[in-house]
This record gives sequence, structure tokens and C-alpha cells, in this order.
Amino acid sequence: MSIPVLLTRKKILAVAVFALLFLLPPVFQATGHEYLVSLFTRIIIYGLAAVSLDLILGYGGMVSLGHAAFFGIGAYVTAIFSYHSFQSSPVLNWPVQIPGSENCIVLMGLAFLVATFFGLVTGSICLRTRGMHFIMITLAFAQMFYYFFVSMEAYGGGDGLSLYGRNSLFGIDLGSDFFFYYLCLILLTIFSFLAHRLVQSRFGLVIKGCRENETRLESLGFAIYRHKLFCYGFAAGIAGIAGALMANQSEFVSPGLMHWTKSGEILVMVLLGGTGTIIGPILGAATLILMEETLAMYTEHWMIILGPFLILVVLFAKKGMYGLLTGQETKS
Amino acid sequence: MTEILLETQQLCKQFGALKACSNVSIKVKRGELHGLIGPNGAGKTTLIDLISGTIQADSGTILFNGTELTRKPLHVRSKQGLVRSFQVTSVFNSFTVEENLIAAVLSRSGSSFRFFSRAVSDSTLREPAHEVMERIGLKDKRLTPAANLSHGERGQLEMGMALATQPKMLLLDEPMAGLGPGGTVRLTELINTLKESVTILLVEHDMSAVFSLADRITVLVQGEVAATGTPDEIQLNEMVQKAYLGQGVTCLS
Amino acid sequence: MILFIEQVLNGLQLGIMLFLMSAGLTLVFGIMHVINLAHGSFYMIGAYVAATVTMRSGSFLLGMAAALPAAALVGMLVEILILRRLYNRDHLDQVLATFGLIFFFNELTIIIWGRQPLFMDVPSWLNQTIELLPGIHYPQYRLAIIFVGILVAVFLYVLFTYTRLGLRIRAGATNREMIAAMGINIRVLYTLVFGLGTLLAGLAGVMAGPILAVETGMGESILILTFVVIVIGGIGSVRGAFIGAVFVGLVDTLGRAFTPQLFRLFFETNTADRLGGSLSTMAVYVFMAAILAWKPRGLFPAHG
Repeated sequence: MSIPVLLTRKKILAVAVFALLFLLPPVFQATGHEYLVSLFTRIIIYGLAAVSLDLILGYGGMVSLGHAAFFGIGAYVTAIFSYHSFQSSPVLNWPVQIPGSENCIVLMGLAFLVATFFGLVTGSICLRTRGMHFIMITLAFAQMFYYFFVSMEAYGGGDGLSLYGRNSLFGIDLGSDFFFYYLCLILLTIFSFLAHRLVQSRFGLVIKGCRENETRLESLGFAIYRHKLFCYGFAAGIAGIAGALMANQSEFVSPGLMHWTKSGEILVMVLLGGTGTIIGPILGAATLILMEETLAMYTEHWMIILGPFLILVVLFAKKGMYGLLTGQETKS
Repeated sequence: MTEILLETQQLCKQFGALKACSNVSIKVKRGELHGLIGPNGAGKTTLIDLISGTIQADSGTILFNGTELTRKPLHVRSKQGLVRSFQVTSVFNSFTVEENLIAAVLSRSGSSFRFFSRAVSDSTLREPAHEVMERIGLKDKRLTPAANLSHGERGQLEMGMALATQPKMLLLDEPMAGLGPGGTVRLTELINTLKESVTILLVEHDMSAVFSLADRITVLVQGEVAATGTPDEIQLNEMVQKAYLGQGVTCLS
Repeated sequence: MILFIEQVLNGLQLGIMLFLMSAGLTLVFGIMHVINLAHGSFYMIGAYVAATVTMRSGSFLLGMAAALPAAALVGMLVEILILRRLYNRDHLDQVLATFGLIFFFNELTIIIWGRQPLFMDVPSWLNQTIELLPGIHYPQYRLAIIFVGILVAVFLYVLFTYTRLGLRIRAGATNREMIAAMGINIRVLYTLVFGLGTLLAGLAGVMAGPILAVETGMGESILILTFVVIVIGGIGSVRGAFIGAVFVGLVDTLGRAFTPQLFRLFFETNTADRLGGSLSTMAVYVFMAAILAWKPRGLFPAHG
């Protein structure tokens, strides 16, 4: 298969996926399956989280088991500020008074910044290690955040915190599943595009090199640590935004959002869809969530099917959905 | 402009009980091609590792272009112009030949913290990369993934990447290993053309190549400098003869 | 003061449990270079089997006698069927496949035993407290755990230093081809090593049964601390696992017990309790980060 044809196949798939996602809600409405809008919103949100993980994992080779921490942090930032806004109490009194907010733009921005901040802080330590060490340290940090939020009684502790409704965006009623779906989809489209440009850029070239051959990169003169840290922080920020969206979607947050098993779920989505592809993770999110929904209709013990299925995929079908649809090997 | 580009002083490295390098002091003149030979296990690759920064010396100093580099990390030394190639070719397998060379050019050309425009379309990166591609003779394999290249072609790419960084000094670690006679000839020609612009420290087992290319040669035996001199002087040196012909004097391992 | 000593002993006891978990896991990491997220599942299997057999038979020892082989056998089965194929794969594959195992085992326990936790009683012959020093009473059972752990540590030390099997295991860690060339069946060796690891995890699970609730997913919570121990102790080092485990056990226990009080020195009571409570759970991770900043490959990295 010659290269120009491959490129077209990839492009067609990308366009098809987004076109499909844009067209689904009216179709659902027309066929009377409006509840599916909510389901697909979840797919889009997890898709965004999975895309952010693919940046560091699929392209940068950083196997992080703690990515959900940033997802959860974004969610909690949103929930905490919304909570205080509703209670008309300030989030912080000292050293400076910070009021609550229910403004969608403000909260998305905050979620991004706070998640990026913690991404940079934990990344600065984790990225000094490699291989198995790295995996375990990311895991440990994620659990640290988990336990921290479990212990925060003021915000619900282990039981979680409810929001009193979705955030507001210039008077658009985000409480409508319809409008909220499109907000999520627009954000997914924007960030997927940015991620796509990022991996093709100069920076992306270095990151892709990290996955394969760090020694070579260093001997060429690149300061690897700086590049990886930057990528890690950025991916954390995007996961934070996905978290903020999640908080709005379910109008509820709990520490479970940052548990390492949640990181594992997102990892599974990236694998199922195809690592190092941007679109793959979105397909993977859809596959996993739809599979859960379908299997759950037959048995409450669907996990016992999912487990071995996952093992089989890893052992025998590494190409992922993306590979299947474009007919090529994903980077592995 | 100092006459000596690279100088090591009493460089030592020990791995457990094995003294890989003992008080190795060498001087490489600017513009010369300095050969480094010795029996297997003499410590040649270790010395290259120490000079390039792949490993840290236990003691001793490394001076390059007037700057002390002893404690500096790999990537800093590379940026200063001290670049190595690898004995086992170490290219980016999933990248095309073009992308490999662009990555090498990128290390010297502007910032790698650009996030939006396509790297392969960037002419400031493309043009130098294509120049090097021509030089090493891989222009027709431009879009081939490195994984699909033959062994010899990978060696060429390896050299190309080192060249693309516009080094002041190249540390070549057995670049002819595994090449057939045709490949060796081509590589010898390439190195010859480099001699004008780049200082080279060449580690090689292929004696005819080393003796034809080198201006001066240092012989390492069991981690120590046994002799330094012009190819003629070395050929006539008794100790070197013993080391290579192994007249039961020392244990070569 | 009494409270302090009690907490130190609690910390040691937690440390011993962590040692049992991490000894096997660090060996699997160091020798087969496989990351196994499902290690906690064997802890869980040990606990469930012991709980069931103990409840039916009334004997704790019988429960243990059933649980240990069960954990070892299931472990070896998993190694033969699945893990073996992952030795040459990259870490991502290993993470995902063992993740699938976690799903499987967790759901299996729900199917067999339901969602309600099981409760194991402390065996009646260990149900008393011992007066260690005047005024300091400590439960016999917890002392027994510490004792068993130290026995295991000694056993492992003897195994690795003085027996041929131990020597082969250590050699297998450094040079696979050499071992095969010497005619030792490396596959069987790996299966045995893995089985040893899961047996130890099962032992930890059995002993944890009476103290904690036996429930689905119990393995995941202790697994995190186990990873912290291995990261601190150094991958592949059983000695590192022991020292790391004791440290982590002590830091976590003492941190939880005393951080709020420490904070009371600086803040007023309510804030101190809240802040201290939150931060105490993080104490062990801060400790880990500090060790890593000093020694990125842990205290006793097995490969230099």
C-alpha cells in the first residue's frame, strides 16, 4: 500500500469519526433514543482523557498509571468552585480571598491550570525515573491524591460531592444534554486537532524519539527531561479539562475518579483504540464504554468477560481498532 | 584557536574489579584524524563512552575546545560540538530516513519547542537534512522507515545523523563493523572527505582503513595507553606488535 | 509513650505484611522483568480461601494450609498460561494484561462469594494480649504476624545465600542465556519463582484476614504500598524489600497516628486535625519522593 493512499485513509477515518459524532444527537432525538446523547457525552469526555494519555504514552512512551489523578483534579476543581459559588462562600480566605464560580470558561481554565500545575510537580519527580520505576511512581502519586480527597470531609470525603447543576456558559443552558454534548464535542475536536499538530511539530519529533531511543536523542544534544516534562504537564492539563466536563456531566464527583483503576480504564481505552494515533483513543473509549453497556444488559458480571478479552487483545491483537480500520500497524 | 581540540588527562574508570581505563591521557589535534586501536577488551569503547559523556569517569579530566567537560552530561557535550556515533547502530527505527536526519538537524537548528507547524515541511530543517542525505548517498531512500534499511544503509544513516549535527569533533565507534568490502570502501571515502572540516577520533578494527586514514594513532592495551604516534611509527613499535601478536606475554581478555 | 510503642509495633506488623507482598513481587520484577499488577489478587485469593475453610472447619491452621497451596497453584497456572508470553513484551502490554487479570479475579470472587465481605476471627489460641513491658499490652496475634514475617525473611535469606536453588534464581536474574546453557530449565525456574511470590502474597492475605475485612478488591489497596516499598527498596532486592517494608510500615502508621498531633503544635485544633488528617495519608508518599530524590533507583538496586 503506497503512502499517499494510507494518508487518505487516515484522514477519511478522522473526518468520518467527527462527522458521525456531530450528527448523532439529532439522529437520537429523531429516533426517540434521547438517553443515548448522555451516553455518548461520556464517550466524548473519556475520549478526550484518552487522547491526552496517548500523547504521553503512545507518542512519548511514558507509561503512566496515574493519569486519572489529573482527570480527578480537574473534576474536583470544578466541583469545589461550584459548591462554594452556590453556598456563596469563598473557596479560600487566606492569604487571599477567592470566591466560588459557576462560570464554565473560568472553571475550564482553572481545571486546566491546576491540573497542569500538579502534572508538572509530580512529573518533575517521576520523569527522573524510567521503565518499571516510572510506572510505579505515577501510580503511587495518583493514590496519594486519591487518599487526600478521601480525607477531605469538607467536600464529601469518600462519598463524593454533588454539584447543584451544570456550569453556566454565556446564558446557554448546559443543563440541556443536547447543548452540553456539543460543548464537549467542540472541545474534543479542538484538542484532538492541537494534539495532531503537536505530534507533527518539532516538539513532537523529539517526543516521538523519546519513545524509541532516548540515548540517541541525548547524544544529538536534546535535553530530554525538559521535553518530557512539558508534554506531561500539557497532557495533565487536557485531562483536567476532561475532568471538569465529567463533573458537569454527572453533576457529581468522587475520589473514585482518580483511583488508579480509573487510570487503568483510560489506558485500556488507548490500547483498544490504538496507541500513538490520536483518533484511536477516541475509538477505544467508544469501544470500551459501549461494550460495558451492552454486556451489562446480559450479566452484572460482565467484568469477567472483559478481563480475559483484554488479555487476549494484548496477546494477539495489538493493532487496536485504528489499525483494523486503516489497515496498518500502530506504533508498538 | 588552540591546536589541541580534545585532551584527556589521567582518565580512570573501573567496573567492580575491572579497570577499564587507567590513567588514559591522550591529545587530539584540531583537524586530525586520530585512530584508536587495541585488542578486544582494551577499553576503546569505554574511552569513547567517557569522552562522549555516556558514562562518567571515576577520576581524571576531559578538556574540549578549551572547556572542561568532565562532569557535564551527554547532551551538553553534544551541543558543544563533541558528537559520537554508536557501534551498534542507534537510529530511530520508526522514523523515515528523512525524519531521522531532520531530528539530527533540529538539535542544532533553532528551538525544538515549536508546537504547531509540521517539522518535515520546515525548510530550515529539510534543506540541511537533504544535503546530508546526498552526502551519505541515501537520497533515494528518503521516505523509507529506518527499520527497513539494510545493515550497511543503517550505518550510513548513523554517520549522517552525526554529521547533521555539524560537529567540531566526531567520535566514531567502529563504524565499519559488519560492513562488506563495498561498504567499507564507501565509508572510507566519506570519512576522507570529512577530514578537512571535522576532527575525528576513530575506533576501528579494520587495520587497513585505520592506517590509511589516520594522521596519528593511539594504541590501548588493557585500559592503558601503550603507544601514540604516526601510522609508520606504530607499525614499527615493538610493544604494539607484542600486544597484537600475543606472544604469550600478557593475558589479553 | 505507651501509645507510641503500640504504634511502632503496629507499624512493624504492617511492615511485615508489606514485606511478604513485596518480596515475591520484587523477585518477579528483578528476574523476569515483568510488572505484575495482579499480585494483589493472590493476596485476595489467600484471604478468601482461608476465610472459607476456616469458617467451615473451625480451624485457622487448616485454613492457612489450604490457602497457601491455592495461592501458589493459581499463581503458577497464571504464569504458565499468561505471564510467560509477556516476558519479552514491553511494559505497556504487561500492565494491560495483568490489569485484565485483576478484573477477572475480582469478578470471580463476587461470583463465588458474593459482594458482602467475609469475616475471619482471630484464632482463639492467639486471642490474648501479651504484656511486653509494664503497662504495654499488645495483641498476640499481631506479634505472631511479626514473628512469622521474620521467619520468612530468614528462610529467604538462607534460600538465596546457601541453597543451589537460590543460587540459580540469583544467577537467572543476571544471565538468562548462561543459565540455559548450564542445562537448568529456566522456564521451570521462572514458574517456581512466580509461585513462591504468590504463595507469600497468599500468606499475607491469610494473616490479614482476621484483622481486615476479606472483600473484593482488597488486593489493590495493599498493592500500592507494596509498589512504594519496592520503589524505595530497589527493584530485584529482597533485602531492599525488607528494609523498605519496615520503613513504609512505620512511616505510614506513625504518620497517620501522629501527624494531626504534630500539626496541633502549629495550628488550632480543628484545622490541625483536618490538615493533619489529610496529610497523614500522604506522609508515606512524601517519604517515597524524598528517598527517590536522593536515590532514584531505590536504596538497594539489584543491578548496579
